[in-house]
Amino acid sequence: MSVTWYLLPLSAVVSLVYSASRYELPERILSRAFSLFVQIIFFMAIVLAVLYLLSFKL
Amino acid sequence: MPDPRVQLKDPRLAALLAWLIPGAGHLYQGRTFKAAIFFFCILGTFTYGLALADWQGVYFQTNNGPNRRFPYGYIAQFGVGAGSLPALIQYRRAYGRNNVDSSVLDAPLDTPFKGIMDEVVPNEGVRQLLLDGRLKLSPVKNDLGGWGVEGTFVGTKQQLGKQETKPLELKIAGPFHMEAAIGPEPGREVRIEAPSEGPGGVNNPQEILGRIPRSFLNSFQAPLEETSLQQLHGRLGKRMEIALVFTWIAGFLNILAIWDAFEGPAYGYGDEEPSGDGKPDPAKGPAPATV
Repeated sequence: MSVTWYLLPLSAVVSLVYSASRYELPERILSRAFSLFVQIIFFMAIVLAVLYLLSFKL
Repeated sequence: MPDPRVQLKDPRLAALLAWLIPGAGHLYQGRTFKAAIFFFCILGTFTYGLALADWQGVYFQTNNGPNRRFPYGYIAQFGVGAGSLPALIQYRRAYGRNNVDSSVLDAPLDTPFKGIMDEVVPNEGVRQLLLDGRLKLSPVKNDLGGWGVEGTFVGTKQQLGKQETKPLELKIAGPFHMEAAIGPEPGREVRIEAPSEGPGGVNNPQEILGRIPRSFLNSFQAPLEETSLQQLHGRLGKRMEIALVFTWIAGFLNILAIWDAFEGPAYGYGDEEPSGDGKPDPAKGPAPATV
């Protein structure tokens, strides 16, 4: 298994715990955690794409 | 100032509980939803990291000889609280006066054993045998007052590189060496220098070297020395790095949970009207209900 896949559970955990430390309402925590999770994955995907392009044909 | 709807009770006690067991502080405050999130997410990440590193990724070590270094990794893991505390106890035990390698067997030993032994075969040279079976040893005093062991190995032998296993019963008598009781590996190294020949058909048996099981209490979070650490990194590869990252992140995340137990949620209750930057503004109070 590629180590990249470990990013998914780790991002989910970080998003949940971070959001839970910001708010008290369960609905707000879950919705904020979801959007943070998407943001993290999106950002990491961009970084991955940039690194892939920079190392293309190396 | 925390939202009055959040009952922090005794914040210092809650913070201490939150550090000891992630989620426990929130449970004490009656904030069960957040307690469940912190408990499962933080302890789950920490335990998964531990398992990925074959339960050897959390340890406290400052005695690494010339490569002496500050235990930054453990400082991060310490955030998880009780889950990381055995490492401190094991550090004290491992470097205690009694935890030394031994050449004297205190009491008879009857234990599973896995190891290797060389045999010298005439006209063929040295062959290496893999041994798997049971070791029974008793301490004996030799003529000059020194100590050794005598006993038997009963199990199987397998020539290195071949599939076939054969039964073996070997009589053992000779000088003995056993690794200290507390150590990170699940097996404790045993070396018997001059086993006797037995009825199992081994020619000129040489030194037996192998491992006997080490109890979980003597190996869990025991400090890794440089050699063991290098071996672990070599055996697990990237898995070891990932495992350590999981345990470190769990420790850092629990700092957020501890602070939340002490001070309440950082941005507010969660139903306030958003301010200009999108975050809820506690000064504006709860958002009006929309139908």
